[in-house]
Amino acid sequence: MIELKSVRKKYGRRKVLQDVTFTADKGKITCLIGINGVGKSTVLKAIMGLTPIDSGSILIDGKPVGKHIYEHIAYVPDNITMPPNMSVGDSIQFMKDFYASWNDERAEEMLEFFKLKRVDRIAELSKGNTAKLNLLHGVSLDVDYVLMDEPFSGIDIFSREQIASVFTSKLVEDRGVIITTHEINDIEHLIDEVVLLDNGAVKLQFNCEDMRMEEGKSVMDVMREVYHG
Amino acid sequence: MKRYWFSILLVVFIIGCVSTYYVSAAARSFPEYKLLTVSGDDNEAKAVVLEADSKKDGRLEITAKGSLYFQERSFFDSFLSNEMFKYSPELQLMMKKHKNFMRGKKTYNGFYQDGQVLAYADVKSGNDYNNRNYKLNVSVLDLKTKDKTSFTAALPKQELYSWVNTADVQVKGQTLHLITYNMNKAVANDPNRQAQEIHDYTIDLSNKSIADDRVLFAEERTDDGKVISYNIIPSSQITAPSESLVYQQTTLKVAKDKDGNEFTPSMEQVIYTYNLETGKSQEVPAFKSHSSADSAQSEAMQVFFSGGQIVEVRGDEAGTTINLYGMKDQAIRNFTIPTGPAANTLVYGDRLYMTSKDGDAMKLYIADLKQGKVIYTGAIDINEQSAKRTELLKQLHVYSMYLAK
Amino acid sequence: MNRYLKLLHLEVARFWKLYLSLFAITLLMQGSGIYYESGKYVSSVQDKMGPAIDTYGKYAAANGVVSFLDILSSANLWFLAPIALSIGALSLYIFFIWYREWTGKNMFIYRLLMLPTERRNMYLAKLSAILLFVLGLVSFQILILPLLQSLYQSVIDPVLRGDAESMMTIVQSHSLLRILIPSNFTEFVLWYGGGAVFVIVLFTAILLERSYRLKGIVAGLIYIGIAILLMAAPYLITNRDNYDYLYPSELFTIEFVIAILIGAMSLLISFILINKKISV
Repeated sequence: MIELKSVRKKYGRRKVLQDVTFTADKGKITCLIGINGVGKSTVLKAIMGLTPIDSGSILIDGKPVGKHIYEHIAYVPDNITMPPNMSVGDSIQFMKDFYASWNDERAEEMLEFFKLKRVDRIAELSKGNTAKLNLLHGVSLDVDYVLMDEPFSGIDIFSREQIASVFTSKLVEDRGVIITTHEINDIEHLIDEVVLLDNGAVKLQFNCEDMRMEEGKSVMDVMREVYHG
Repeated sequence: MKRYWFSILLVVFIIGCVSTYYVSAAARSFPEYKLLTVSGDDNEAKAVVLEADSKKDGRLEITAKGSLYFQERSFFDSFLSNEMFKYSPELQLMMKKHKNFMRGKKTYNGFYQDGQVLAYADVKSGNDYNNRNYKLNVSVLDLKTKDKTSFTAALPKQELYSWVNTADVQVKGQTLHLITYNMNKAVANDPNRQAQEIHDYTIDLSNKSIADDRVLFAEERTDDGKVISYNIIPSSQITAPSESLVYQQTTLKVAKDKDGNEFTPSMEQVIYTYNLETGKSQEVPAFKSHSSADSAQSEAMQVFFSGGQIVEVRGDEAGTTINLYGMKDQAIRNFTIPTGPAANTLVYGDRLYMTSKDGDAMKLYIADLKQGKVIYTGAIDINEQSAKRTELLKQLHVYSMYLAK
Repeated sequence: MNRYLKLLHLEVARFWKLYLSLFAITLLMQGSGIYYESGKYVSSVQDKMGPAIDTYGKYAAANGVVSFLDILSSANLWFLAPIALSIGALSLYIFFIWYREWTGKNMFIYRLLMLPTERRNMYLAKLSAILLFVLGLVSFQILILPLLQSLYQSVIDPVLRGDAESMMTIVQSHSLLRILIPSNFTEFVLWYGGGAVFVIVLFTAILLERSYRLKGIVAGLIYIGIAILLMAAPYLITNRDNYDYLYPSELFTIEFVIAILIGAMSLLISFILINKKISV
């Protein structure tokens, strides 16, 4: 379980996160929703220890953030995190070199599924292929949690479908996933939990299924209520 | 591992190059010059260090033990404590005994020591030519009570001088005499006047102040075209007490040739002693020398002051004469060393050290001034044979010597 | 193989093309400088030869011989330019080795910070890489000096040349080589150790900037200033105005200790920053 308690962060005077508290469970896909600039990415970076927080606590399976979490939790940022002059093959070799949790078989499978060529330089990949390789880097790690920052933004429709299929496959089964988006439509059918963020604060956390069953509201309906109501 | 060949190669390459260079630097050998005894007691030359330059391998120091090249010296050799006051055996000893007192004191001539006190006086100045901010620094250590007195005092009339150098320090009871050379800037630009003055600053140690500032001698230019200048001959034992100063008065006759260029047709040098207490000068008549431009090549002459004796060394190829004048008994003695001219001469205590070229070899003579004779002869030699030996000896230029205690 | 060494290799691998071109430029420029100046010397000798002086031997007897150091000093510009270029490139690289991780869309710093290893390994890899690059270039210079000397020997007739100087004599007679390659190994270690402390201080300033951005620039500059001030402190306090209160050996010991402390403190600050404060 990933637990955030009263996480606060300021950039200069601007409060980016104010008392962010939510949990994300293993085996569930949790979606952080909010319009651009409400601090979704910052939450993910804070969980990964990529940006310091001013107060509050972040626990991953009860343990604070540190080097040991990187074998248990993978992060797929909105851009690929490899030097552009590396080749696809080199980047996979790099991951293999440094991560004990790297699953080479899975990487091979995904490479084939996405039809990526090892010799291509990252700089020369299309936007969609870059996103696929980025996803490959994150999902090929045998980790308990995967965090994804806007995995669908700015990607052509076919790539989107391929990426979405990853979510329904065994690749994310049993894992805890946190995903951010500002367009809920594409992924509403995938997600279990929703955390609504506004102005760096959590407005609401709810279970999609329960919400639909008990109140008959879609995620979009709830968002409308929260942001405009 | 194969993937890492470039990094591994880089590390191996660095270690290889650097270690090869420094191993071969440490392993290389230089020609080993050595001071060998020809006659006399080896111990006499134990302290002698000859500073030389070999054409091929740079500067070196030669002793009876062998040679040490500057290139061989380790980093730490360059600031070992004996590098300080290297040229004065007594200051080296003083350094070992009174390391803390010697801190920040660098002027050889500023030290004084007798049975009771160790004293140091020096004039420090800033870099601004128009405002030198001369400060007299005085430190006195009572050797019995271990009390240290230090004070500074502004130099009187300091705006007059473009530089001030310490020539000697003497202490008598509570009075410290600081003898300095002062360059008077008011007259420095006047071609008809000379600027250097020799001052005696009398310092009252109990009052921590300058009691008196007297100009002992000032360079002058007389109307009949003579330039008279003075310089102090310091004691070879810089720190030793002495009631009198020894100084040399040089009189140059200046004339103009038909083109109006100045030249000096004749020069006269007289040695005097100056009693600090009575303020009286006394000529040492035996050491008066006169040379003129038209006379045959004049002899080289050097004057030393050591242990109450004034030592004059003069000579040429034919031989070197040592004239001695006892300041107490005013007696004059002399003896000769049948070689010359002297390349380097050094007097310390009752010993006179002289180097002189003999063919390709550099010889060292040590004379006992009391007995008035040479008691040691040595020569620089090298562990090589025939032509190479001659060549190496020829290449060696000994330019100075000092004593290391 | 441990992750520090892998990261170090990564740094080396990312620079090697540029690095080898520095080697190549050095070899080419210094080589052509020596070749050109040697040739120029030979033709100037030939110009001066006439009926009276009709052999190299007679010329050398009359005008003296030339040494490698003479040619080296006439080729000074050729010789110094690649060294200056290398120094400049590596100085810039001290900054670039950090800042490039944040540049572009693909910020590699995300990945580096998420590696399952102590973050100081990344720091140490970058530091070691810079030192390796410096030492590698120095080694390369040591390696090619004898080559340059043989080049000179191949162009100039033996009769016109003096005795061949040893490498050490050449290095110690040259104003810049003497600094780059000190005369003994102790000095070499102290000199480049001092250089390492300097790089560590710069790294600390860079990490301050990366952690606190605008405020960090100020903090970084102040940090560098404090480090310089601390190093200069013994001179400012006790050895000012030619008033050398401290003896050279004491001064060295104090400077040495201060340098070690600055280095250790900078490493500590850097490790804290990189673990707790740095931000992508």
